[in-house]
Parts: sequence; structure tokens; C-alpha cells
Amino acid sequence: MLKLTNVCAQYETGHDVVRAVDHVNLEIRENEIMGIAGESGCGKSTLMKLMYGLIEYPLSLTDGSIELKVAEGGGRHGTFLNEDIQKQWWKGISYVPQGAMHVMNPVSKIKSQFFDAVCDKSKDKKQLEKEIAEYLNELELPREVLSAYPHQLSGGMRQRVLIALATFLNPEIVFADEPTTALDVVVQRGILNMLSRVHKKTKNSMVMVSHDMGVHYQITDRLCIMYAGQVLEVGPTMKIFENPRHPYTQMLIHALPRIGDNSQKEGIKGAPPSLKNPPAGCRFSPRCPHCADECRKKRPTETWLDDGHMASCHLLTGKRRESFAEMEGK
Amino acid sequence: MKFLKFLGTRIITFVLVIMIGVTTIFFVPRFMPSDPVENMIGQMISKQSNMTPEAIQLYRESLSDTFGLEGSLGEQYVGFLKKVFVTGDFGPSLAAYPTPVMDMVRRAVPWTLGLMLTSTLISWLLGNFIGLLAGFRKNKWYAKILEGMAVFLYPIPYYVFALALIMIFCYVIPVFPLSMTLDNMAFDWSTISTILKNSILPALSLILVGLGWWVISTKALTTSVVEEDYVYYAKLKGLSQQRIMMRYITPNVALPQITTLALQIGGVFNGALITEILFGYPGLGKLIYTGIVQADYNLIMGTITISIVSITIATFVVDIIYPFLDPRIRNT
Amino acid sequence: MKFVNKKLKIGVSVLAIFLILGFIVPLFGPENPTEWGAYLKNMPPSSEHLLGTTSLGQDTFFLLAHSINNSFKIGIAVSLIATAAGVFLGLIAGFKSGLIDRLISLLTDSFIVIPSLPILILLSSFLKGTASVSFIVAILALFSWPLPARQVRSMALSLRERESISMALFSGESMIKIIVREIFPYISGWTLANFVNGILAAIAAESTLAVIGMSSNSTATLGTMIYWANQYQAMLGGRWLWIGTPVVATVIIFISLFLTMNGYQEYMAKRRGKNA
Repeated sequence: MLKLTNVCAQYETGHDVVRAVDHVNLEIRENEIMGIAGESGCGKSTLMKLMYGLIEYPLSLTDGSIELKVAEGGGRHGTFLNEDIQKQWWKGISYVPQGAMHVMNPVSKIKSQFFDAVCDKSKDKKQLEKEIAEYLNELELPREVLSAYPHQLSGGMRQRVLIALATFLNPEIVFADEPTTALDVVVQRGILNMLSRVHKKTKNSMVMVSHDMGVHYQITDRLCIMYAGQVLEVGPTMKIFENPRHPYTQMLIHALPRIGDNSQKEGIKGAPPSLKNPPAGCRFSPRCPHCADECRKKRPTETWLDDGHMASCHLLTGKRRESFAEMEGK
Repeated sequence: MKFLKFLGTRIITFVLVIMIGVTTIFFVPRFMPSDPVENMIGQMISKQSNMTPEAIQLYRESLSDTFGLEGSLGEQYVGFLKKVFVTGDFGPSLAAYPTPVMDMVRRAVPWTLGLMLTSTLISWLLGNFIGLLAGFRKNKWYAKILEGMAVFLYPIPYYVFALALIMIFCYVIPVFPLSMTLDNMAFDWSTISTILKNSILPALSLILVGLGWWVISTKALTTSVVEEDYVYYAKLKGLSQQRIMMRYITPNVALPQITTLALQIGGVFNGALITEILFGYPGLGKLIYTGIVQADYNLIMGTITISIVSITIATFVVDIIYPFLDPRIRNT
Repeated sequence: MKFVNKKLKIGVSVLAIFLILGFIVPLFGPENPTEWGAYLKNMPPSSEHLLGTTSLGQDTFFLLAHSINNSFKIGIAVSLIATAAGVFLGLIAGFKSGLIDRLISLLTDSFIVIPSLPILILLSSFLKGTASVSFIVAILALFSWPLPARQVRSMALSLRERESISMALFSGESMIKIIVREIFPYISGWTLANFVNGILAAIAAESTLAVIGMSSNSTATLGTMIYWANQYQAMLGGRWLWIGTPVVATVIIFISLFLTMNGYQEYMAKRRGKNA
């Protein structure tokens, strides 16, 4: 579907260069929900921009490629590379932004925001409106929202409308950028349910960017953990939660609260490194409890474990492997 | 409820503005060091030596009446308010004795209205267009030049435009007549073409006066709208630049500019007065000037009162219409 | 000095030239440049009369310098009064909320939308060009205070919400002390920009009145100079220097004042940093 090979990208800000994404390999498969997790500033939004083909100043692709394969109708497949992905916007690949107040045009009705996105002049507007209303009905949204203005809707309803807007044309990949952030927990739950319903119905692929591990646990099939512009670990979500292999992932997951667990939760000490001048070896090394000499000097390679579980850490290769496995066993 | 509150405050302001205006007009003659009526009669006789004693006597009475100099100050004030709001009778004009002032005002208003409407509309549209362009393409060279020109136009006072246009187009390259001469008011092509020919320069000067401000304010608004999330999101929807410009940026910029329009009407009217006086254009401005030059105080009082009342009404009409155009305000 | 921008530099430099022209040059000229018939009429420019003479027998150059001087004096006087009154009323309205605030705001809003020129014309028409300069200053100031008052009020309202100030308020410090110590430093930069803008507006208003003969006709200002030139058909007679120089000077003065104000605002914004 969507394949990233050795992607490196940077922002140019005046004299500085920020390497926001560094040597990322990632594949989004058909009919899966891929989660991308990480602290803010880890490059997950940049990665999503790249996957969406939104490569423009000050962001630039310095190495690697992003390749999108979508059906073009009539059994044919089209392949789009890097910026060309833009040609598939909304038809083959769409985007659900965080449903804040300002993502919808405040002076036009929801109806015309739908018309805008559909851009199909051949259809008569009445017919189109009927189809949109039917679609909203399927998603259990009242058709009255069509004649409302964005500010008349609640935050949760706006988010639902945005999902409907992004999935109406039945694209093959839907990107969701923190769709539940800034909503209360009950509404979050509803949004996630709606997303999985849409996913089940359309069998499209979905990429879910969120800093909230709970969201990933509930909805994603596979999970990608990012840190300082790099992918540290990728694998089936359940495996990552059950058996995280990278020390960073372990710390993230252990920091999650669990029912019946009353132990004191500890945050991860230190702060993510500056991407203007990242550490030489493993980028997590300054905060890693298992940090050794090689970690500071050499970048770890991607190590594929069983069942498509990948992590990139020195602890998974070489001499320290056994001692680490032993320690984990405790 | 919120709208009713909005309407309430606006109406109170509206009434207060008219009251301040009318009250100022009422008190000014009273604070003058000499008896205004005798002072005026003196000025009048020196200008219009051919007036008959009867006309002067009649005029003296009408002036006393206009200024409501009979009775106590309170009675005078009430009488004046009645004159302004109920009867609208400002007595006869001296310059065109015995034509009532209101008749002259009625004849002049369409001219001023036509001039103000067309020039404001053109200047608003043009200014918004240039401002949008300058804000949307703010890194392009032509955007910078357009904005630079606006910065130079904006601070220049009205009369400079009028004088400069007169200098250039009436003297240096004499393509337009200096002042308006209408032989007859028949509704035919020659009348229309005369009106058009005579209106181009006054209108042009008013357009230039407003243009700078519109460009600067629209550009500032556009720059902030362009950075809004919904414009970014529209782009991610794969919409073309033109569509984003037309459906997302333009309405969000133009709507607030309607409120600004309400605030500018007073300024445009000030400009129109000066322009009319300098171009000899037969509107309210020229009428006020005629009144001043010929010491025709009935005419001055009438025209100025009418101007203030009508400009205030126009301002508030635009102000009240705005919430009906902008869904964000209408629905809150 | 790091944030001084091009607009401010150009504005201040041009303004300085005109201030020299208005306040220093007249010292070297005739005592009363407005005096009629002091020289031969309608002379072309020469080393003796840099810009020639007018149809009234005045030296155009020194008349212009004198006019600039008076225009600036009127502008500065009006702007001083209007800014002071505006800041005062705005602060009161902003800090004494309730009835006082509502009254001042209502008055301010009313004065902002009132068409001022007709009223100014009415006021001066009773004096028909014989008004004294101080009278003109007074009536211009009457219509110039509302804009600064409104802006200061909204600034005061937002300042009140700041922690440092609400802390001071709660700890019982006197209002005057707070205004002097906390508020004034904040709005003083803005006040300066508004002062410049006020000069601009006042010169514009005075010269507009003067051009139609409604100011103090015997005082030479940029407006009255144009008025007299117009009265004596300077355009028809091709006396371009007489009518043209005050027009050109007005334009340049206004642009330089505007650039100064605009540049100063940008300078202040940069110095405070974008978050302020």
C-alpha cells in the first residue's frame, strides 16, 4: 500500500537544519490500522506529512522514497512517489485532522464543506446531498448537521463530521492526526468506535497518529514507536504491549496505569534530544538505563524478531543480548 | 438573546450619536460671542445688497426661528429637536430665497449619495481585491509593490487627491472640465454623459482616498486568515488554490471588512464634502460651502444637521446588517 | 538599536528634514513671511527667492517653512491634548469598570462614528476664517481623543487580567500606584506611536478645514497656504510652486509621519518579542 524506504527529511529554519525524520523504513499494509506513537516533537507529525505527500518548504526529503500504490479503478493500480501522492488526495488518501474549532471554514455550512471535498461537478447537488445524508446516516450522524455551521457543533460532533468528510469518498488510506486529543474520555471512546466501524466497513487502511498509548491499545493493529525522528520499534500492537523489546517502549508501557497496580509511576528521566544536533549513536542513549559504550558510538541496526516484530537496539544484538534477556526474565 | 443585547447597545449608541451631533449644532450658535442673528444679517446684507427690507425682516424672523432663540433654553432645545426630527423645516434659503432649505437638500442628496456609493463600492472592492492578493501572495514582487503603494496612499489627506487630480487633469492635461455645468436636467444621453464626465474625477479622488486603508487592512486580515487551520486543511483536501481563495479566504476576509465599512462611512462623507467643494460637484458638500460663502445660515444648519443624521443612520444600518451576513455572529 | 527597521529610519530622517525646515529655517527668513507685498509678485525662483514669490508678494520658500512650523505646532498641540485626554479616560474606563466604564465607552463610541467634519465646519463657519489658532486647536482636540481612549481602554482591560497586576490589586495597592508603576511603562511605547498618529490626524484635519477657508486664514499653515493660492487662481495662472510646494510638502510629511509611527510600532513589537 504505502511504503517508506530509508526516508530522511529535514526542516530548514534560517541557518539551522532540523533532521526531523531519520532513516525510517515503514510499511502500511492493506486493511490494517497502523499506530504511530511517541512524545511530542519525536517526528510523528512530520512522518505523517511525508506519508501524505505534503513535502514543501521548509520540509524537504533528503533521502529515501515514499511509495503509494492505489487502485485506480478498472483493476488497474497506480503508483505514486513522494510529492505525487498529492494527486491522490481525498480520492485515494485522506486526512482527519484534530477536530479543533478552526479546521472548518467558519463561514460555510457543513454541507458545502462536503461539496468542496467532493469536487465532482458531474453530479447534481441534490443527488449528492442525498448521498451525503445517507452516508452520515450509516455513521449514525444526524443529517441536520449538514445545514449547521461548524461553531454550532460540539467538539465531538465536529470530530465525527471530519471523519465522515475524510471517508466519504472511500479512500484506501485514511490518516488520523490525534483525532481524540482535546476531547473528553467518553467522547474519545465514541470517536474510536466510529473509526473502527468505518474501518471494518470499508476495509481501508488507517494510520493513527497519537501520543496516547491507550488509544493505540484500543484500536491499532500494528504499532510504530518513534523517538527523536527514528523508528525504535514496530510490531503487532498486542505483542508490543505484551512484550516490548526496546527499552524506550518498555518504559513507555510501564508508565501506563493499570487496574490493581498501585505502584508509583515514574516518568522517563531527561528530555528528548535536540534534533538540530542529535546524539551520535543511539538517540535514546542519554536517557537509557542500559546505555553502554557502543550505544553512544554506533547507531543500532534494525533487528527483526519473530512475527514481524522489529526493534532497533544494541541490546538485541551482540554480546549483551543474553544478559539482557536474562534481566528481562526477572 | 445575545443578538438582542447587541442590537440594544447599538441602538443606544445610535441615539447618543445623533443626540451629541444635534446638541452640538444647537449649542454652537449660543456660545458665539455676538448675537448670531444680527451677526448673520450683517454678513448677509454685505453679501446680498439687493435684498429688500421685507426679505431681511422675514429672514430675521426665520433665523430666530431656526435657532429657536425664543423662550427659555430648555424650550429652545425641545423646539430645535422637534424641528430636526419631526418637521424637518429649516426655513427658506437666503442664497435662493425663498426656496426652502429642505428642497435644496433633497436635490443635493442624490448627487452625494451616488458619488459616495459608487466610489465607496469601487474602492472597497478594489482595495479588498488588492489586499487579498497582497496577503495571499505576500512573497511575490507585485504584492510588495501594491502594498508599498497603499502605505503611501493611506496617510494622505482627502484634499490632496482632489487638488492633484485637478492640477493634472484640468490644467496640465485638460481632459475634464473644472466644474460642473448642467444646462438642463432632461433625462437624455447628453445629460448622462455630462454627469459621468463631471463625476469621474471626484469619484476617482474618493476612490484613491479609501484605497490605501482598504488595501492595508485587507492585507493584514488576509495574512492572518491564510495561516488559519481551515485553510491548511482545505489544502490537504486537495482543493485548488483558486477554490481555497474563493471559498475559504475571501469570505473570511471580506465579512469583517463590512464592519470596517460602517466605521469608514463618516470618513468617506468627510472626503466627499471636501471633494465636492473643490470640484464644484452639486452635492451636500457644495451646498454647505455655498451656505458658508453666502452667509446663508439656514442652509448651513439644515445641510449639516441632515448630513450628521443621515450619515449616522447609514453607519448604523451597515453595522446592524453585518450580523445577518456573518453566520458566526448571527448564531451566537 | 538592533530592531530599528527601514520604515522607522526613513520616516524619522525625512521628518527631521521637515522639522529643521519648519523650526530652524524660519529663523533666517523675514520676520513675517505672511506679509503681503513684501517682495515683487510672481517672481521665478532665484538665489534670493529659492522658490520664487507668490501673487501676494510673499517669499514662497519662507512662507512654506513658516507654514510647516505652524502646522506642526497645531498638530503637536492637538495631539498632546487628545493623547493625554484619551489615555486618561481610557485608563479610567478600563480600571473602573461598571457604570463609569459604560458611560465613557458609550461616549467614546459615539464620538468615533460621528461625522466630525460637518461639525468642525459648522463651528468654524461662525468665525469664517477669523478663528484664533487656539480655538482651532481646541475644537480639533475635541474630536481627536476618542480613538486613543478606546484603544487604551481595551489595553487596560487586557492588562488587568495579567497576574502581576491582579496580584497588586488584591494585595490592596492603590490604583494610582498600580497605573504609574505597572501600566504606564507598558502603554508608554504605544502612547508615543499614538502621539505621532495624532499629529498626523490633526495636521490633516486643520489643513482640510483650511483648504476650504474654515481655519484661521491669517495664520500661515500648509492648508491656508493652499487656500490662498487657490483664492488667487494659482493653478490657472500656472503658479505651480505656490500651490504645488505645500501639497508636495503635505504628502511627504504625512508619509514620513506614517512611516515613523508604523516603523515604531514594528520596532516595539520586535523588542517585546512576539509573545508580548
